[in-house]
Amino acid sequence: MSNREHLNHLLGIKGLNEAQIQTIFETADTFKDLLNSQVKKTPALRDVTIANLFFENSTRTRVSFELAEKRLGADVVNFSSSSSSVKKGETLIDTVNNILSMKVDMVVMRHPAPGACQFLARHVNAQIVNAGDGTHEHPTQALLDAFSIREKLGDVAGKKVVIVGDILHSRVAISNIQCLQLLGADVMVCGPSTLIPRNIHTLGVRVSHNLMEAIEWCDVANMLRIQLERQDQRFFPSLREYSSLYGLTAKKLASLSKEITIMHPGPINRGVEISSDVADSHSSIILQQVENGVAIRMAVLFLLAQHKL
Amino acid sequence: MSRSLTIRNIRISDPNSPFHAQQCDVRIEDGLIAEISPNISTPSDQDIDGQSAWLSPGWVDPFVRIPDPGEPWKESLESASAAAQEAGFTQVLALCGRKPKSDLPETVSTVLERSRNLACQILPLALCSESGEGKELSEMHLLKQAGAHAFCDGIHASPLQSSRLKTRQYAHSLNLSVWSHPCMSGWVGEAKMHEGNVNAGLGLKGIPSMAEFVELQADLELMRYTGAPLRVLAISCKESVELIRQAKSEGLPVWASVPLLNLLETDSALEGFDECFKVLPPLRSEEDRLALWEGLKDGTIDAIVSNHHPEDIESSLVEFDYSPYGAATLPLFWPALLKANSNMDVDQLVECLHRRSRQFCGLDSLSLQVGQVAHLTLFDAQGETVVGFNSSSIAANVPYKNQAMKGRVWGTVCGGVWKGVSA
Repeated sequence: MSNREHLNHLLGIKGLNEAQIQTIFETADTFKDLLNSQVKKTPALRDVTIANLFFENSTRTRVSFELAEKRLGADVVNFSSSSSSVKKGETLIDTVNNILSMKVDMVVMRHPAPGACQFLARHVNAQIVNAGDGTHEHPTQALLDAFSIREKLGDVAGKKVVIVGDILHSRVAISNIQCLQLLGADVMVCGPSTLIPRNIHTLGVRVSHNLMEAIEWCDVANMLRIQLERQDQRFFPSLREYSSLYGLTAKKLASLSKEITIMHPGPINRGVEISSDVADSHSSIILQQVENGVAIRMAVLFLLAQHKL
Repeated sequence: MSRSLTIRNIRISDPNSPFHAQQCDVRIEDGLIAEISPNISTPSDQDIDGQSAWLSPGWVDPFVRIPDPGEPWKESLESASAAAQEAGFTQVLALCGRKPKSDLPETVSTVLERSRNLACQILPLALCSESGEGKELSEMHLLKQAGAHAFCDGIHASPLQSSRLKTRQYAHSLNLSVWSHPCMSGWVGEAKMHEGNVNAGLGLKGIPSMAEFVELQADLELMRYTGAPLRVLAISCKESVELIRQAKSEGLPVWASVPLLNLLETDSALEGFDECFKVLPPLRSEEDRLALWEGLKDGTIDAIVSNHHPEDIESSLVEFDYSPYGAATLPLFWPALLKANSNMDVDQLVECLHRRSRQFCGLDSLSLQVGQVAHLTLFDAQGETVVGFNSSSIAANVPYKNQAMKGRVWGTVCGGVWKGVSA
């Protein structure tokens, strides 16, 4: 690691290597211990100011980043706008440069346009962390998902992970695929063909349109939310039909000869992609994912700010 | 007033000329080639030392967009013409105007009036439908009378088959030429790039090759039905090359062109979300790129278009999703073409820019022979061009800006008038 330049941004899983991910995990282990202690905080980033710029609605990711930043002792400023900067008449670069001129060091950005973080990194002088850019990447979600698998199953390498649902509109899927593969997992995507990019196999994943086949194969099933807000047309006839085909229920799980780990990046549409009894079952690590999100984001912010990534 | 010009010490690049590949001097008088010989002693009003560069018939770009009238700050008729001249073109066919558009005869008249004395001649294209939306017919007869050379549809048009048929029938009955742009927006939707090995990893919806070749198949059927010759602007995939090859082998009157960037780059160029490579038709796979070169080499594809589509910094410097399609390619045209070329010799390549380009456009042929109109391009393949440096184009969306590439245009003669290009 000493012979290379340190990362200045986290724009996506693409651009990371396995060693960097392991560094993030090891750092997150330390922060998770801290979070479970009485103090919960460290002044590691007390001289750092971080702006959370959310150009798209978000609850859990925004709260998770804010908590991570505050627990690292950083100064935090939040900016939310559901409409894009372009629609408001101000360019993204101007919006961000205005905020940076108030001596902000890092930017955590969620934006509806794929590539928006790359674009920003090229044109402004700050460290950028991608909190989700359209249908492109959501690297911290992928890191916390893989971290949660590692925590639950001991290791990611050699595990079979299926990602089920709306792959076409999912930044979580793309980042997860890349992250899990870097760590040695075997990845499958499952869903109706209309919600799976035609050339997804070029990312080295298996493709299935049959949920039972997929869960019989896997060790871990990551159930994605149907993102109706991103769909400009109907990709399946009804939620009822989707749920019948791809909704994970206790009955379907009971037909397996093994136990699999259930994940979901949230927010959950109970009764659509996952039934309540599955979401709340002992096989589900959905709440652990949320908890791990803070530790992973603390690790990412800390390592970037300290130029240790 | 009679005016003469001699360009000395050049190598002729024109397989149709008896002087092809010879070291010559060329004398021009009153806009016509008056003499070609190894050593011209007749005095001229102006002498140019060609320094062993190559001289070919003037290059023609079959498709350029100029947003003037309407948005001249993005590229004006004057800046576009100057940039085209610097790229080696003596004539460009241009779809001009944003507001008003070239669906009005007045726009075409204005373009002709304003571009009369520019260094590179602008031959206006006009829209075949109102506002270029592909729905209602434009006044094609009046547009032709105003000076429109040929017709095409707007970049976002996605006409119904019935509208396309009506357009072709109407135009053909008036002996007007409608050029097809087969990658239609109805297929494009929210997609921003080629559907292939790259788009899935970028989270971008893809434009399948089918979006082009299915429409091209429909165009070929419309040609068979109406009898109207077919000129296809900007093909980008291997299936389209094969369809054109098959149609030509049947003896059908079909011509096709390919955009410069599709010869140079693939969809991998978009991995960094560079808006300069967000173009229509989209950059496709390496297999497609190589098929385009094969098509160009064997004559399936006739011409190369710059597909110059200028935008200003305000439009370009935004998130990839919000940036408009198009790249300003005139400032890099010749060196980028040389860089992309792997299977044609320079004379063959340059023929695509004059003889074959003129055929595509339906222009009279020109060659480097005595008595011919003096539209000429002086160029080399070794000199250096820094992309965008000293360019007259005011567009912001120039790919490879400030990169040095091999290949230099020295100047042009348009209608007998020499204009040099500074290095």
